[in-house]
Amino acid sequence: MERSLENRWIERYRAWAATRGAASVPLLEAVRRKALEAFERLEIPAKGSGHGDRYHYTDLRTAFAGEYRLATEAAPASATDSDSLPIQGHRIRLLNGGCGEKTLTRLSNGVIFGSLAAAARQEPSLVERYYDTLTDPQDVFSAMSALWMQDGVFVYVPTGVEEPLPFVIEDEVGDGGEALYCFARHLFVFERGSAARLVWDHRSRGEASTLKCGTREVSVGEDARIEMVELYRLSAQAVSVSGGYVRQARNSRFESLSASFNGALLRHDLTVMLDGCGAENRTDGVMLAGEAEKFDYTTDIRHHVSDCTSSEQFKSIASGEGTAVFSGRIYVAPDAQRTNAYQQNNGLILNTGAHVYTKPQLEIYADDVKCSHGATVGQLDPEAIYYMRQRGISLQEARRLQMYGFVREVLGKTRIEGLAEVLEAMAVDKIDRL
Amino acid sequence: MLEVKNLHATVDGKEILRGINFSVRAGEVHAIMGPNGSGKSTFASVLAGNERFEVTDGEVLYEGRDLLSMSIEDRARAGIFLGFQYPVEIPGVSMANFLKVAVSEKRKYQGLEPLSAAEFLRMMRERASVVELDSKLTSRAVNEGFSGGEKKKNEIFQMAMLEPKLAILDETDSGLDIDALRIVGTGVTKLKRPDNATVVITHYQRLLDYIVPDYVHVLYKGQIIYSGDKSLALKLEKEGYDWLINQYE
Amino acid sequence: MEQQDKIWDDLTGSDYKYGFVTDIDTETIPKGLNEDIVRLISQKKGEPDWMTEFRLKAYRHWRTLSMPRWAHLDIPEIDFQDIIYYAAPRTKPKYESLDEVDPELLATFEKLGVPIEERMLLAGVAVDAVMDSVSVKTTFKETLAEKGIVFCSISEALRDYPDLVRQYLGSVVPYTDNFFAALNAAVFSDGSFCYIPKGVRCPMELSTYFRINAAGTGQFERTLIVADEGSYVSYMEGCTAPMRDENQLHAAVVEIVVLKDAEVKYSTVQNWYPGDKDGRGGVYNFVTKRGMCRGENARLSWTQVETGSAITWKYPSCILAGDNSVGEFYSVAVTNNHQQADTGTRMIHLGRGTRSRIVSKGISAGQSQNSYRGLVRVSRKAEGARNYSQCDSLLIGDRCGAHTFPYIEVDNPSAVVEHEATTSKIGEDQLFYCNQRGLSTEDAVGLIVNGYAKEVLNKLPMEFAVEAQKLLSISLEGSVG
Repeated sequence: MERSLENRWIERYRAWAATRGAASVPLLEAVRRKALEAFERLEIPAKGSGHGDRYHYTDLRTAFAGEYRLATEAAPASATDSDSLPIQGHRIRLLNGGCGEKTLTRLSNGVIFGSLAAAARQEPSLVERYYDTLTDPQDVFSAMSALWMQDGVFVYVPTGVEEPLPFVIEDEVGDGGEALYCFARHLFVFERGSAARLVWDHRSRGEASTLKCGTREVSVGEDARIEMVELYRLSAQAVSVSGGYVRQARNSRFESLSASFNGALLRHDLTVMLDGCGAENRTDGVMLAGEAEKFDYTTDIRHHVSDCTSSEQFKSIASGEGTAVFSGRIYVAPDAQRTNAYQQNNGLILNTGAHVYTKPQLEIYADDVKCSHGATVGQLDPEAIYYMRQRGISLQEARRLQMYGFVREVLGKTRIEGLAEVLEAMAVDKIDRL
Repeated sequence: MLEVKNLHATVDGKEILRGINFSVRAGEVHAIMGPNGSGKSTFASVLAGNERFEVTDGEVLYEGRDLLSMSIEDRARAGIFLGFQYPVEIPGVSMANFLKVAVSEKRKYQGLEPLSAAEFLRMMRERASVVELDSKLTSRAVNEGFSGGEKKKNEIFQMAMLEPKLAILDETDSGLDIDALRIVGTGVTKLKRPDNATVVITHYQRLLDYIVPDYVHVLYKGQIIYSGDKSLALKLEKEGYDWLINQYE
Repeated sequence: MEQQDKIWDDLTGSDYKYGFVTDIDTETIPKGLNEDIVRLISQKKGEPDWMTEFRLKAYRHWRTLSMPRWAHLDIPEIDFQDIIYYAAPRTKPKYESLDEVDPELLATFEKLGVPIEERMLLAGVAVDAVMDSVSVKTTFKETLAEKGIVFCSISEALRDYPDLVRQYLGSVVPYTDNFFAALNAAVFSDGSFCYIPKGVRCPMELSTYFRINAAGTGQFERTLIVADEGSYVSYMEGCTAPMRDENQLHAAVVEIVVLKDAEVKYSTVQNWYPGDKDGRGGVYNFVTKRGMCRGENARLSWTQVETGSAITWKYPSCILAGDNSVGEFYSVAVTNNHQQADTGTRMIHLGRGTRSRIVSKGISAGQSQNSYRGLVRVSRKAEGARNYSQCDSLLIGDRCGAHTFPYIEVDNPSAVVEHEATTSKIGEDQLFYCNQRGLSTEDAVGLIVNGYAKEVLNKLPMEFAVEAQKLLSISLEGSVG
C-alpha cells in the first residue's frame, strides 16, 4: 500500500502536536493516542477501495491531498449573524470545529450543552462513559477527527427530561482567504425516556476552500425520542466528510433528516445500531447537486436485535455536472426476527453530464423479516408537465413545481416548528439554480 | 370561436386524424361521439397541444388566432381547458399551490393583478362547492390518492377555477357512478355562460342528459362522418354506429 | 399432471442423486501451472501458434492478478498449483453412431436422467456432449450444416474455422477481464463453438452437457457463440457433477456475440455437486459469462437456474452496444446447507433506446448465503435507455442469509431505471394451507418455491423447465424441519 498521503498527514499531526502544550484533558488525549495507532494502519480511501465497498463512488483520497492549513481556534459568529436560521432554540456555535470559549450551559432540568472539550474537563466520568464507544475501529475519518479534535458539540439530556426547545447548532467553517482544514468530534447523550430535537446548520464563512471532517456519536437511551435535522449550505469550495454513529436502546425512536443543498463534496456516513428491541429509526435525505457538486450519502442501518423498525427515504436531483450518490445498506443480524426495514431512493437526472448513482443493499441473516428497497432513476414526468401546462402553467414553472413536489415529500417530515418552511425555501432557491 | 379545417395528425408515424372539419361558436355545446379508436381523444389532445401528436396538415383558428402555433400553456391561458380522461397524479404538489400558480398565470396573461391569498381561498371554497368536492382534497397533492370519481370532480373544479372559454371534456363520464355523473354533469351546466362553449367527448348518451348538446358529431377513422342534433345521440344509443358506418363505407 | 407426479416421485430420493464417478481411464498431465504446462495443453490440442501465444499472454497476465475478494463469499485458499489442468479420455473417440461410444459413458448420461439418445429422438436436440475436457460425440452436425450452422467443439473449430474463432475469441471477455477469465484463457481445455449465419433461424435447441469427472481435475470450459445478422439460436447448458470429497474448481468462460437483428437465448440449469450437509466438498463455480449486442435490435436473454455448487460466482452480463438492443436476465438461485452463491448480472447500456430487464429470485435455506449482485449502467450516450429490475429473496429457516447488492449508475438524463427488491420468509399460512390439504411440508415447500420462481422457469425451454422444477425441490430437501 502506498502511504505517502497518510504519512504526510502524520507528519502534519506530529508538527501540530509538538506545538501544543499539555493543556488538554487526559480522556481526550487517551483517545487521541489510540486514534494515532489506528491511523497508522488505516488508509484514506480512494474510489472503490476497501471497507466493505463503502467508497465505491467517491474518491476522498484526492480531497485529502489538497494543501491546507490547520484552522486555528477562533470565536464563532455572534448571535446577530444574518445567516442564522429563524428557529427558536438553544444556540451552539462552532467555528472550524471549535466552540470558542469552551463553555457549557446547564439548564435547571439537568440538560447540559456546549463544548465537548469543556464537558470532558467538567464532566469527565459522563464523557468517558460515552466518548469513542460507538465508532468503527476501521473508520479512518473517525480516527483522524479524534486525532486532531480540539473541540466539538456536546449535548446531554438526562433521564426522563423532555427538552421543549430545539438545540440549534450553527457550524461554520472558513475564515476568509486561506485554504484550511478542521476536525471535530461531537457527542450526544440522550438518557432513558428523554426527548430532544436538534437542528444542525453547516455553513461556510467566505469562499476559500475548506476541508471539514467530523465524527459524531449519538447515544439514544431506552424510550428516548430524538429528532435531528441537518442542512448543508457550504461554499462551492467546501469539502465536508461527516461520520455519524447512532446507537439506539429499547423502544427508542431516532429520526433524522439531512438536506444537502450546497458544497463541493459532501460525504455523509451514517451508521445506526438498533441494539434494543422495539427501536425505531427513520433516516431521510434530500440531495440537490448542481454544477460540479458531488453529494454522497452512505447509510448502514444495522438491525442487531429483534422487533426493530427502520425506514429510509432519499430523494436526489442532479444537474449540470453534479453527482448524487446514495448507498444504503440494511443489515439484519441472525436472530433479529420480526425486523421491518424499508428503503426508498428516487433520483432525477436533469441533463447529460449529471450523474445519479444508487447502491441499495440488503444483507439479511434472519428469516422472519419484512425488508424491501426500491430505487428509481429517471426524469420529470412528462405527463404531469403536460397536465400542468394545460392548466396554463409555464413549462419552466411546471418543472420547478414538480421538482419542488418531489423533494417536499421528504423535507415536510420535520416536526420542528418553522423548519419545514425554511428548508423548503432553501430547496426552491437551489432548484431554481439547477 | 373555434374553426378546425382539414386537420390531420399522427402519433408515432400513424395517422389518427384524417381531415377534421369542425366549428364551435360561443354559447354552444357540442358532443363528439364515435366508436373506440376513432380519434376522439386524439382530437382533444391536439387542440390542447399535446406534443405526442404531430399535426401534419390543416389549420385551427381560435378566436381568429392560429392555435397550432401557440404553446400548450398559452392555449390554456387563452381559455382552452381540457378535462383529462385520465387526470395525472403529481406527488408533492398541493392542489392549492398548483391552482394558485395556474390562476395567477392566467390573470397575468389577461393583464390582471394576482388575487390576494384571501380572495383566492374564498374562490377555492366557492368553486369547490360547484362539484361538491370535499375541501380537504384541496390540501392534498394533485390527484394523488383521489378516487376515480374525485379525480373527475377535480377536473370540473379546476374548470370552475380557470373559467375557460372553450372547455373540452374528454370522457369525463367514464368510470363515474350515477351520483358522481349527476354532480359532474350539473357542475358543467352551472358553468355554462353565453360567452363560453363546451365540447363533450363521450361514449354514452347518459352524460348528455345533464349537458344537453346543441350538436352531436360522429367521429370515425379520424373524420367527422355525420352531424346532427341531440336526437342523434339517442338514436346512436339505441342503434349503435353500424348504420352510419355502413353508409360511410 | 403426469409431469408433476413424476416430480413428486423423484422427491423421495434425498441426497445428491447425481453423485457418482464414471470409471473411464483418463490421460492427464502433471499437476500445477507454468508456461510449459500452458504450451503442453496447446500442443496436445494441436493448436495454431497464435492460439498458443494467446494462452501464454493470458497466463502471464493471470500471474499478475489475485483472486477477487469483493463478493459476499467465504472462499477457502485455492492452491492453483495443486490442480491438474488437462485431462482427456484415453481413447480418442470418433464415432459414427452411438453404438461405438463407450458404454460407460452412455450409462453416465442415463444416470443423469437425460439419456442422449432419448434427447436426440424425442426432443430433436443436438448434443455436443463434453465429458471432461474433450468433446466425445457431436450429433446432428449434418442437419445443422445444411443451414450453414457451425456447432462443434472449440478445438475442432480452431482446426476447421480458425478465422472465425480468431475474430471473436476474447472479443467479449478479454483475458484481462478478471482473474478467472485470465486463467480460463490460459488453460481452457475445450468447450463449444457455435456460429449461426446471417438470417438463419436455428431449427433446434442446441445444448451441451458438462461433467467434471477425473479426480482433482479442474474444468475450464470455453464457449463461444456468434449469431450473425438476423439469426436466432436458443442454447441450453446443463451441468451435473459427481460426488467428491475434495473441492473441484470450475472456471468457465462463455462469450456471446449478437449482431444486428439477431437473437440469442442462453439457458442454464446448474446443479454441480454442492457439497454434503456439513459443507464438505462441492464444486467451486467461478464463471464469466458475457454477451455483446453489437448491432441494432440485437437481443440477448440469459436464463439460469442455479441449484448446485458449493460456491457460485457468476454474473451473466449484457453489453448493449447496438441501438435498440435488448438484454434480459432471468435467474433462480437456490442455496441450501452450506452453499454460497454470489450471482447476478450486469447490464451495460451504451446504445440509444437500449432496454434491459432483470428478474432474480433467490432462495436460501439451511445455513447458506445467497447474494444477488447486479449492475445497471446507463452511459452518457444511451439516450432513452430503460431498465427494470426485480430482485426477490425467499428465506427458509433462520440460519441462512439473503443479500441484495444492486449498483445503479445513470449518466443519461433520458434514462428510466427502476429497481425493486424484497426479502421475506416462506409463508407460514401457505404452508399451513398446503398441510391442511394433506401435502407434506416438503412437498408444500417444493410447490411454493416453484410458484415463486415461475416467472423465471417459464423462460426456460420446455425440456429444461421440467428438469429445473425437479431440481428446485430436490435442492431444498430437508430444509424445513
